[in-house]
Amino acid sequence: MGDERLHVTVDHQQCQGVGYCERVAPRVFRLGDDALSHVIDSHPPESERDAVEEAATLCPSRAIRY
Amino acid sequence: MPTREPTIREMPPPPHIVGLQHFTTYAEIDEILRSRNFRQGSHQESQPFFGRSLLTIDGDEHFERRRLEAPLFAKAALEYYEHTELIPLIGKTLEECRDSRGDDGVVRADLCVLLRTMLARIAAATTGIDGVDTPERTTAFREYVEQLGTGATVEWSTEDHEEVIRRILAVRDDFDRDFFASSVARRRALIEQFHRGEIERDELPVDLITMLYLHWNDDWDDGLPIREACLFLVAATQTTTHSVPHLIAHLDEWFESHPEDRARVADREYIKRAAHEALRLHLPSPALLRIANEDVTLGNGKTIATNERVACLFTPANRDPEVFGADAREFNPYREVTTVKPWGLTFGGGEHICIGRTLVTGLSARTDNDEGTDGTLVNIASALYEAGIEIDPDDPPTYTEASHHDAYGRFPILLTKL
Repeated sequence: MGDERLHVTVDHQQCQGVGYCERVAPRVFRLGDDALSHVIDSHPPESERDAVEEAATLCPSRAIRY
Repeated sequence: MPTREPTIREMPPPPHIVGLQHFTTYAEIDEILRSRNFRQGSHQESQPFFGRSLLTIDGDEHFERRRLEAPLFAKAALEYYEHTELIPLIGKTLEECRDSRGDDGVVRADLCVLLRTMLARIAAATTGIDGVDTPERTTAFREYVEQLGTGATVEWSTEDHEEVIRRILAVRDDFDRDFFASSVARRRALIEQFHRGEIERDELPVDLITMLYLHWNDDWDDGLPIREACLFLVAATQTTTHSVPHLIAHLDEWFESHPEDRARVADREYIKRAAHEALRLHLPSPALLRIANEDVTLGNGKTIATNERVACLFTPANRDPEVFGADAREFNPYREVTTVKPWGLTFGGGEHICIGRTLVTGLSARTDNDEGTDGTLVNIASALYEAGIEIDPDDPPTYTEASHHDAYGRFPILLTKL
């Protein structure tokens, strides 16, 4: 059985810096001074799964993987 | 043999953007679209169709609306639309083409009409329109969507714009009577049942109309649902209807100089790459307008004054050699693009990126590292090649004269394997 822990990444070549991810999952994402989204907890607890899923679907450029 | 029109054309700017400051490079447009110093400036004439819809709102309001509608484009929803609505209707539409076989035994069709029929049910499913079931109802629905699209893009029309708006608002009233009102009534009744605890949340339909009435906002006016629905109906069909004819025309031309590639039409990855090129070269929305919230100086030193409305011209930006290489103006299914999406700015940028992009490109686009769906473009183009699509040599495609868009108006084809 594989490791099913969340592993969150943001593709910076695709990220548009809109910041919706930070608004729905502020414990996982933060907009940096470079106007791109950064993952501040790449292995968040299971309780963050719904928020990460919403961030990934809501991301206009679909730059989030988990 | 009649001569064909060129696959790549120079399109003069439409009248509604003449006089505005134009931006044409990929970098400067990308900067404008990402910037929080601009707001939506497009669709001023099409307000009767799109006013306060997702397309025209900014900031917090845009975020809240997008959050409400995003589940319609989650992976599971996209898989459902593709496998349950799109693929069966593609097959059914091609089957029905057999009935129009000519005396010479050849099946002929207009690709533009065929595409709208194939996309009718996926547009209805995402929006929440019932009754697109019989051939007659599908034809009626397709014709409504086609006409609503004319109103949605009125800024680009070559007809008198006021006359277009008047005519299409009347069409929308008929659409309301024939399809929309009953679809809304059924969903509102279900939502009431849900609120009374008679049905579970997962028994409600997953579509736009349900989402809007389930999460009704008292700031909305009663006309908002039909405007938002018209946006979804047009957007769900327009990009694919626009792009597939360009894809077929380009591949036909490409195979003349690269005959070894002809057999690759069965390779979905090859079709996907070719489709990305068609999307990049021929934009369904070739220009978007933005209004500056404050004085802005772009990275290249160009300045935009507070409240100035500017035009972002996507066609030259998507042919920018700095991003797409020295041959950026040409079609090349082997193009390698590493720094941006292969379709460039075709779906916009920043917070207004097209919410339905994955419906068209699928979730397995090569820059996505994801799996799930192939999207409308690849599914339809692959099915057409399987059916033996050829451009009718005796009746070449012609571009539309009804708008300033780079779009085909007629695209006669033969389906030689049906």
